Amino acid sequence: MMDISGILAWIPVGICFTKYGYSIATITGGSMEPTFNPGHTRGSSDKDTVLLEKWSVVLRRFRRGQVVTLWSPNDPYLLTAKRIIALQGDVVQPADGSSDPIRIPRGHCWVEGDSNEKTRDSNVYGPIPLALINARVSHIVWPMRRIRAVVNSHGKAEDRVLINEGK
Amino acid sequence: MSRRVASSPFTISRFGLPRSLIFARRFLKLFAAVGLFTTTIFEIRACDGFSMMPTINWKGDWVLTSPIPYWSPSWLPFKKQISRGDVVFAASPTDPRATVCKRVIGIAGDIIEVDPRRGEGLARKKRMEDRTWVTIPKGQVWLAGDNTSNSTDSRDYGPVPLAMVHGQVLARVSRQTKVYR
Repeated sequence: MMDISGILAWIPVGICFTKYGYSIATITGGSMEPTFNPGHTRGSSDKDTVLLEKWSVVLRRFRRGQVVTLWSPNDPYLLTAKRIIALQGDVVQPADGSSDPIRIPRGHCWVEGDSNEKTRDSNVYGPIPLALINARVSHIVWPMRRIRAVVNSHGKAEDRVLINEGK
Repeated sequence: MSRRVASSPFTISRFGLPRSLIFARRFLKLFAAVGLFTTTIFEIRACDGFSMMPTINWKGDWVLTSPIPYWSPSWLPFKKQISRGDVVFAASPTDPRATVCKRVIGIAGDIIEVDPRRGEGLARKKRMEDRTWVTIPKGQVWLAGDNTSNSTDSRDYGPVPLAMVHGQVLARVSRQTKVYR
């Protein structure tokens, strides 16, 4: 029979699992349309619940094209979902075409929302430090008809990125 | 006649978990508890590097760090803000594995001269001409090392988002103990 302290000692293990293993979150807003919340601009209030994979961030396995959640550079209490477009050393042409191509500095990345509407992403606030990234979004787990894996893709920036192959 | 249960760490017994698994479970609990404590309550850690001299020596100084001063969940009506003069530790913008220890010298809305030290030997007129000023955006802070002549800080990587500031450096616990306010 397990005594009460033995059971209580599992609580930190559970908290650490949500911090460094897996966790669940609900996506609000339409900045990642159509990957998440595909009906958002048509007025649908369906919200996708997603599985956050924390350990790939703990191991710093960042890849171009993967969808991640990150702390907003302008609000430490706001977690946003975006797609990694470019990593350090790559050259990116911002979407509005107004400025010159930007080389991503060391330890930074370029993130963009999938939506064609204007989103608050690196086109607004520039390259962001990798340390802001909180988790990788691996699956949509709810609603039932939307259950699927989240695949890596170019997003809307396929022809605006020059990838730096040599590290 | 009583049956003997072999007690090698890898024996799988019908009467319970093998001893190796019991040890693994105990370590898991201990690691999780210690890890959670150091990331949410306080931690005493070594802080090396030239950038915070003379506040923190370049080698061998240990500091007490805690996220609690800035701990402010969304349901709290008040939030303690990071203020100018705080010594903080933050994730390094250039290397997500590293943490840096710097002093906050500007908060959102402040206008900061990027490198006031630059061109100390120059004539005042020349200095006034080619200096650059930065307005710190919302939700970000300007970090600088106390040892301005040997510090990689916001002069190089710009203002740092608040989400990367892990907590405050409360005191130096080695050498002569000193509390920072």
